[in-house]
Amino acid sequence: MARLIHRGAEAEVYEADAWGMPAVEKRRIEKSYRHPELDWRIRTSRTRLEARILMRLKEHGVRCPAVLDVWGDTLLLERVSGPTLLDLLSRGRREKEGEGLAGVMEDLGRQVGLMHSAGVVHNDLTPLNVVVTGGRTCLIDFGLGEFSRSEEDMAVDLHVLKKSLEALFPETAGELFERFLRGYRDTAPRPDATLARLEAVERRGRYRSWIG
Amino acid sequence: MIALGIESTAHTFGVGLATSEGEILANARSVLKSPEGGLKPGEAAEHHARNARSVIETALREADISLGDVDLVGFAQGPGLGQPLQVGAVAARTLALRLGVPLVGVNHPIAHIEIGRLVTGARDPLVVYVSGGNTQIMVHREKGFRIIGETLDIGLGNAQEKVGRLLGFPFPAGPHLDRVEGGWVDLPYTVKGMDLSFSGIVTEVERRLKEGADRDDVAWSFVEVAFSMLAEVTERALAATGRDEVLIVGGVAASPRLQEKIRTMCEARGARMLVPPPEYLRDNGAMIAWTALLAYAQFGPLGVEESAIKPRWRPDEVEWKLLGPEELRLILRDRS
Repeated sequence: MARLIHRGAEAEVYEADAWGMPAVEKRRIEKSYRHPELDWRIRTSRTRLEARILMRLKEHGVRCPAVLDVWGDTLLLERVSGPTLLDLLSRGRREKEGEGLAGVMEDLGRQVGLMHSAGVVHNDLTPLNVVVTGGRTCLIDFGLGEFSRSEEDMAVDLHVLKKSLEALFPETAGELFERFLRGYRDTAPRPDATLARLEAVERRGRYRSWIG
Repeated sequence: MIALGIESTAHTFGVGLATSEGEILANARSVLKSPEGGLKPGEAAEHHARNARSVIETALREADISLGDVDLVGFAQGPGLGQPLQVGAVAARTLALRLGVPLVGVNHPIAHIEIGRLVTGARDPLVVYVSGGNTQIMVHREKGFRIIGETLDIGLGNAQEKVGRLLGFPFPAGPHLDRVEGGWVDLPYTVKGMDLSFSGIVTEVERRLKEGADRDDVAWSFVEVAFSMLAEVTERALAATGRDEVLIVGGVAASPRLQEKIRTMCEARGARMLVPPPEYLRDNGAMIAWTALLAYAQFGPLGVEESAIKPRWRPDEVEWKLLGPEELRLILRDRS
């Protein structure tokens, strides 16, 4: 039996091997509270959507896991190795080695900007869903992702990230997010409009503010 | 201390009596049933004005007390429909003035949650509030309730009424829809992150029925899809907040099929589902009376000039503490 790497509310991720290449299998969990036909329809359509999103991102040069195969409710994805941004930030805080982190945040900003330029929103952009390899960030888990170019959806991505940084690293969150924005402005489709929208979202104070 | 609470946000004119010990002494009501379905604000207001006096009297009789025993008058200040809300506000102001007791405005969704906590013993649960006009998933955080997911268009109860009307069921359609047995028909399933949308399903139901689809199949599938969506966002919210109790409140929460879905989901996650009995799920005066005591303990009396109705008052706009019975007793003792 393959080793379980992660179990979320929606999917299980197992270690896998694709012709000698390290991979993961992401399988959407059956929900016993849903009618079986409905459940299957939802799991397969979301799996296909996630695959389409990842492929679109690859075309636009966004770092994310490559899709190796799709069948039914399962995705075979390239395995991305490295600590998550959450690990890295927690460690950085302990060891007071802040300098490298600024570059990582700026790189993350560029990736998220590119993602938005590609017409994709992540919808769960927390430091847990960013893997860092050699100072370069890679976005993972597009399970809630959507194709969208709406200012509101893009602003919610930024809001979720900002709130989670504030909750986890209250002393440095402001600085980290500023660094992130520096990169984001480079590659995002309409950074000024999105940041204005972010302010509106914050004033409304609703979207996922339970994080903080 | 005894509080009298008035509920009048929608169809129901309710009057409840509660003590600061958490005892519900009375829960009387009169509900407008319009034959053609739908809610006309003017009609509801008229119904409430006509029945206010007799419902108040019924509540006092039920509790076996007189008006002079009332120490506090609370009313649902919002959210809700302007005209019916106004009737309750006027009745409450008049009573408070006449009795010379404090007036307290209550947020209707918070009242649903607080009566739920009182009667189920839930401590700090994930709340699923599902009624005609509202569908919200909330948790309490330091300063008040936070809405972490909600409907982007109409409430689930509202969707039930629309579908019920298409199928010829009387108001309220929920219990009728719940009992239909049928087969599977493909309907849109619209979950966006933590949010839900129901209007697309209603449109599709209408289209399917026009095409001649089996009515039972459509009704059964509608309930299946709508409740599954709610169970899914609830599960996501549970995972994200790490709570282990789910409190479901609001009129739609009385549905056995909904309860079964949420319970199945909770069991799979090792969480506990809590549901108040039906008389505290639907709109009622007891929840307003009890929550008025909690609000009075936190904010003191409401001036008449602050007592204007708030038809769009969201629960997350209220600074609110989760008080235990002992804290409530202590605060109220210090106030008197």
